[in-house]
Amino acid sequence: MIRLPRRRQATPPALARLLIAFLSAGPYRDQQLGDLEEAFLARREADGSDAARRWYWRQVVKSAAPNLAIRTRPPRGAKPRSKQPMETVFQDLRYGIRSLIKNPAFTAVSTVTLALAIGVNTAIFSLVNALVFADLPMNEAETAVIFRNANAQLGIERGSFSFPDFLDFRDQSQSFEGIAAWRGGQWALTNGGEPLRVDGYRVTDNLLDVWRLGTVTGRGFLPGEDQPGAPPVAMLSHGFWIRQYAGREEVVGSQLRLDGREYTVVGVISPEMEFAELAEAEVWLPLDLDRASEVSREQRNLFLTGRLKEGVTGQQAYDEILAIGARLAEEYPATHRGWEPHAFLAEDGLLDSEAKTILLLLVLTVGFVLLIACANVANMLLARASARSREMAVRAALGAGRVRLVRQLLTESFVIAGLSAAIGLGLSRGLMQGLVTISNGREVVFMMAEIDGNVLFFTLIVSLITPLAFGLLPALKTSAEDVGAALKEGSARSGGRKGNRTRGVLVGAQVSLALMLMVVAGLLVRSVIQLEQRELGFDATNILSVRIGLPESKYGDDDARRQFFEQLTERVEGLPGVASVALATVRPVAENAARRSFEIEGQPPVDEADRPTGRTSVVTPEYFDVLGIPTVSGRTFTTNDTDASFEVAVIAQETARRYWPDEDPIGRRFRIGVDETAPWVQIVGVVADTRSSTSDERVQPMIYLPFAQNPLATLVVLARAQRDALALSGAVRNAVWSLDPDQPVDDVRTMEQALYDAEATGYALISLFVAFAVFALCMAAVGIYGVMSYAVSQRASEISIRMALGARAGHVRLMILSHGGKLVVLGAIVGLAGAALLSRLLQSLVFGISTLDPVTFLGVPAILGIIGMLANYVPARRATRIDPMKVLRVE
Amino acid sequence: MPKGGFLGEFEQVVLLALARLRDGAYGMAIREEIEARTGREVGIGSVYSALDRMERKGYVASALGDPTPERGGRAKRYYQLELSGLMALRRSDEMIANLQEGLDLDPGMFGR
Repeated sequence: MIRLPRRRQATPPALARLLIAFLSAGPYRDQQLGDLEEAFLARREADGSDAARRWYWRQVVKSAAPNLAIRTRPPRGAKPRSKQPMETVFQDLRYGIRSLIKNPAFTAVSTVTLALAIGVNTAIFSLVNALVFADLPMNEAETAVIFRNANAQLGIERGSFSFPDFLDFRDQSQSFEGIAAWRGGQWALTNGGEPLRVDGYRVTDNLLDVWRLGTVTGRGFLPGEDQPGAPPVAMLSHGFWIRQYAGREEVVGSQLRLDGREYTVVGVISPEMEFAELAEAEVWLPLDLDRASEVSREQRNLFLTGRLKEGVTGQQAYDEILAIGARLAEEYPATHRGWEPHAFLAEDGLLDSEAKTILLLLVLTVGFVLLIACANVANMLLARASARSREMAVRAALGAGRVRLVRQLLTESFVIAGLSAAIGLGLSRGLMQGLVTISNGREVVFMMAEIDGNVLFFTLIVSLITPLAFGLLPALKTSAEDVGAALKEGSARSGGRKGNRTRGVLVGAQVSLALMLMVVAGLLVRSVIQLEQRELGFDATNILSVRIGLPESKYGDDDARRQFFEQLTERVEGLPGVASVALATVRPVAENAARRSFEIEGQPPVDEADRPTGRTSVVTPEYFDVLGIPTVSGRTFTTNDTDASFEVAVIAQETARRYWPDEDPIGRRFRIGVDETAPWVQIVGVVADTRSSTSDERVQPMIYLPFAQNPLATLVVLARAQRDALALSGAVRNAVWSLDPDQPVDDVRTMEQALYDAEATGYALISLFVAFAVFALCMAAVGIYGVMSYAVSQRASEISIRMALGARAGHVRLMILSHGGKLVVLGAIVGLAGAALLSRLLQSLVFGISTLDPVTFLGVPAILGIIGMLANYVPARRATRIDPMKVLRVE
Repeated sequence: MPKGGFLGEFEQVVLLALARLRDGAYGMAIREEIEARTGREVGIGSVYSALDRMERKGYVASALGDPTPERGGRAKRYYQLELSGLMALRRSDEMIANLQEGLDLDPGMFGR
């Protein structure tokens, strides 16, 4: 009989049908599907297909909530429960733990894998927690505002303000109930005993009001106490009060000798103030300004904060401050071009964009690590599934429902995850400690991160979600075995092919994720290597560096400072083991020299943004010899360059190349700053370049000025030792104290140490990314190995037959290898695409190479391919060792 | 106060539709009856949810019918009204009647 082709009739929408089948409770599933199908057919006849399909969808949507409601009702009377639900849970737990103990290898590997992943996730979350959900130092933070001075051309996002700017903002803005200012300071505390260097801040009298902070004891500053002539008063930080004075009340009212001046302690600030950099403050003094910074709009050294008036929004304040900034820029174009003041709500403005990028990248990568770990454990569970198929079949045959079996299997996953989370918490502590160590204690953020309630909650959530991520699929598969088939001898391996496909997909995903992590790590490492390969430009070995900051009160006079440092140089030179000594304002390369703009004599004046800039360091004549920086032409400083002679400078080759390109710079003159009364400075020599202290410049346009003509108060003593530089530190300290017993000596480091410290945060972060990548690579290798071993054991009989029929070992090996190779290649292709996308995030973190760096993008897949094929080769080799007769006899 | 609980509004609607259909009352038939009489399009799930609730209370009873091809081979579940369901309907009626006694729901009440 020939059937005529019929026009295909519309059927109920498949997705809607699936949805209702999924949502409806067991006893009503068939009824609803049947009812709907029947009514659908009737409607199709009456109203047409489209209307019927629309109606069907409407029905499904409307039925969703009531169907879920039915599900929440307890099952109808029929069977009273044999066990209380809690008892079942305990039974599952007991059984789960027993079965995990019976498989120690599986338990150990899966727990370690997950613990590592949860550990890094917890650690990174604690960082995020410290930064993003930080307890801000001020109370009522929702109306507190932080000012930031941004200059896109100079790449400054969180700059500070000059004193006149502060006054303008304070007097002209209407949005604020008060604006407070602060700047950092360091003083020598000499209340008997060894002189102590204390850090702190000078603040306007209203800071505590603006931040709604109180004192633990005593009082805050009174209005007017920041005015010149007010009696000198000081507040202590809570931490310093506890550390130094054991929290004694009598400290209030006592005298504090700072830089030789007496201050009356009036109070102790409440501990909320101890936040990020502010936490390092020990002493708080009223703001005082020297004459120059009171008038100069160029000296930007004040940080500003404000408190919004009631009813004023953050946006209004932001707009107002921006507008005032624009007016200032118009009024003072020379000093304000390119600068833009931003007033952020304190809650929004803590992180700059680079920090945000790094955080985002960290969160993404640890998320990947967790996914990879989950995939691995899921893989192991799937492998176990086939081993347990008989166990499950027996239990099903004895009357265990599928839900019951899934629940049992999931309980095991929860046990693994719980155990891993506990270990992971410990690991995360270790990891944070490691970061602090690698960064040499120089990154506040690593120290701020601690395990608090938020972090514990996060770990708890992770440990509840991960078992579903890695356990649900295997549990469903394990419990879905066909009872009859599984119980029959010999077909224990049935149904495995589909399982193996799932495992293959998991491994492919692992390879992709691992590749992405490796590319990120690769780009960062390559970038560091690029930066490290830059010529240092001087010899950093065996140099001890010690910073000395002379208090203004005691050494206010230029000659006093000259005399002190000259004597100090002599004494240190005289120490046994010291070869030579120099002074400089900064440690070369390790610290940023101040960037100053200057004017070249004979060139027409230009706007500030276009003015030539150089990085200035004030040095003594021995500097170039001590560091081994060769002279290229002209001379370096001599003892003849004094304050009585004309002003001189030595420039680096780079400076000469940039600003005196086609001429001999020697004899040329320039003037630093915008002050037209400042004297011209004559270039007397050119020295070799040194590496830039920042990552954006290859070499720095250095300008060296002689100390004798620029007697600064804070200098670094650079002492070249004959042998061990660090061994000199005690002697150098004593040399300082022999000159002035009240002078604090701190920040004693070798130059090599200082160079490391400058990059320490970067090293710590890169170690993290590398560790993640290595972990991911190992996991992927383990995954490939597991799946391929399983595939080989599954295909044992097939391979045996092939070999019995004369297939050569090489052939069989190739067959297995190409199977695994496909997984790796597919995973790698997806991973490369992902990595290309991810690398865009790295734009601001990568230097000297492109974010699509070919070395990384070719090298990483190559490494991954080699490791992947190795993991693949072992099972492939095993396949050829199969004894065909043995396998076939068993069959 | 009469013994037994009161019906929810939707339960009342479903019970009345069920009573009207007498024999041959199954989920979709009840749903269609409600829609035909009241113009209200209700979800099939809501109908079963209400029926499930009332079956637990003993207001209705159900039995499985035979599977038919137009239902994709799935069986119907037929429902019938029990005595206690009938009593519950009557209680609800009385309650409404008592409340409405002597009440004039004329929009004129609002002076418009």
